[in-house]
Amino acid sequence: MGSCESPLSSAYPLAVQLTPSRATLACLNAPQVLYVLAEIMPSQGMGGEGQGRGLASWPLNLCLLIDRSTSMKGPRLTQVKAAVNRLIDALGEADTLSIVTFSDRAEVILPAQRPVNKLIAKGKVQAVHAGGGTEIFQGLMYGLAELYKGREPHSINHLILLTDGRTYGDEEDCLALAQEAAPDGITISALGIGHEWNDDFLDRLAGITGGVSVFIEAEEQIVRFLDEHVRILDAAFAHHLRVQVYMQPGVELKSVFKLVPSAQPLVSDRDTVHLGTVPYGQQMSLLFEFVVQPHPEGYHHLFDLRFSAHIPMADQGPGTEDGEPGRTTSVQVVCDFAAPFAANVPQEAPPPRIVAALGQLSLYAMHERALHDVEHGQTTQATRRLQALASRLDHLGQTGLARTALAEADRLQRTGMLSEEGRKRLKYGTRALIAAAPEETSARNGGPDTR
Amino acid sequence: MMTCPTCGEPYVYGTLFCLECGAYLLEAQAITTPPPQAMNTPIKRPTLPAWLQAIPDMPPLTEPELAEPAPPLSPEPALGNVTLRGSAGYAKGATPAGAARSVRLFITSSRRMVTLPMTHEVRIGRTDPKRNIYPDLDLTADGGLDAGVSRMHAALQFQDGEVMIVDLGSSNGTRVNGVELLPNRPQPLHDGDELELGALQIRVYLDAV
Repeated sequence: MGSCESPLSSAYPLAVQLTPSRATLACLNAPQVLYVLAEIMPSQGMGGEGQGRGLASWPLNLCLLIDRSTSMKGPRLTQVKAAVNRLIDALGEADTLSIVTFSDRAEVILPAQRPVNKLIAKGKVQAVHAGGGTEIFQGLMYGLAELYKGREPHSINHLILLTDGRTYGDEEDCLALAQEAAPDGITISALGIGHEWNDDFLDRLAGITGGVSVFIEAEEQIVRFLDEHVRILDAAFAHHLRVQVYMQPGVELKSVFKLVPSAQPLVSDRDTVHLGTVPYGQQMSLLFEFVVQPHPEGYHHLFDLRFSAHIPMADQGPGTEDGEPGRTTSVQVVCDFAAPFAANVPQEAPPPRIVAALGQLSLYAMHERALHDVEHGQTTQATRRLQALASRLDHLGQTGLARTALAEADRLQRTGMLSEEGRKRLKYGTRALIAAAPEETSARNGGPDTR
Repeated sequence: MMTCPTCGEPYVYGTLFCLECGAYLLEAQAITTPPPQAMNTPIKRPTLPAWLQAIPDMPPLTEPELAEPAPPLSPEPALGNVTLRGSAGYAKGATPAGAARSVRLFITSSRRMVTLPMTHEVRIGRTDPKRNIYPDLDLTADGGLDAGVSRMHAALQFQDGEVMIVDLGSSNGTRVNGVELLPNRPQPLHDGDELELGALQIRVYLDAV
């Protein structure tokens, strides 16, 4: 049950391993929570360091969606331009780039181009000036249209939104666009600069498509973030990775969280969860939280997870019609998950990997709950939560974050509000802890035997 | 359901971390069998002293005056014309000293009723596992931190059937019926007294014999 490779596992490029929080579930007359850690990795001999990169570097189909509202004026826009210039320099012959800017209106300053004329592209970027408000929707629409134009069967289609502000009134429309784009293998990542942008919105926008949302506090970090971001994309081993969750009656998916390679809450309210790309030499870890209704004693089938991805293939793989033969293939790994239920379950410590992952995740979740409380006017409760979070963070040696949490608790008590700054620092700070958690996963043999 | 042993928050069975206080909930999972002794480093958490744990308290979560007019008091207290602020006409000083046998505290914020025996001193405050401070009565879950309750705020002492409250040098002070106590000076409590630890309000019921 624990390991779930397809029957042809040796020939299959992807392997998925599921680790449940408990090997045997209890027969209760009340619901219970079951956490399942899913680790998706290249099969033996696939996508390993060294071997992978030579196989095929995927062409990128990138769109940059750049906020040029008044607030971007000065160092922000300068740094964004510098970052974009570096990105342009790094593009290869097979890569496609488009650039869209937006303020009150959107403008396609560089229509999708392959190969990119770097001189012209840089010139266009240089000419961008700041002014106006922030309205993302039109820009997003134009940007996605350019991505569709530049799309190839095996390209990595990605939109990067760089913004420092809030878009008002068109959030839902933006999310609807993202929802349409996700099944076509388009991911959206959002880099939020400064403190004023809407973190919930950008999280969802990215989460829907399997992209990431990142908090950039200081302008100087923009270049590094974008560099790193594109490097990871460029090193994709599998892309358009997604999972469909089919649950048996009496089982409910409460949440999915991507832990690695980048911590990101995913949107679980639809049947397909988009996961984005997996870089070479890495794996992806997801944490599912299920609520299981009472079951009688015995073995019960609880859910199926169907993972699909596009993978670059040499000649030997079990090719499918999808994509160019010999270049890319679409693979599926189906994991049935069944578990025994027993009346008398001896208490067992959950697998350390799950405990470690949840421990980190709980800090982020505590903060999320505090935010939720604040929104619902429950300041007292939120204050208490932030204080508890502070003491946990302090305990873990995260003194900086702990101080921020305490300061926010204090502010909340006095003013009934959080600062945008503290809110984001905590949200993305606790989230970064998850991704930075020591990867115990390499000691995979240490995992529990889940016969 | 299970509850977080540190803060009392209810959770669906199988939950591993408390999102209220961040506690690891493994120990709370034991439902059918006692936990085996070989556990991997459970988080240290406060334990109530055995004598206090044994007392079945807290079930009545409604304020007594809503359910029934009053705790067993002598008919209409002839003595006290002193009506307390905000309370439904309780009179203090109704119970003669030496007659009380158990103390009940009603914590207004959480609507929690705690019954205490009058055998040992009861220290009241907020648990702080990091500093290894475990008061006998933890007000964390009642919003103690928020209300400015100190980790070791006050104590109830019992002498010859009389109940005394003493402030243990708390930051935000202790008041009885609005009168501030001097630190470390025990003061007698009476049935119906309004106790304030910081901003946390507690009504005192002394049950007569």
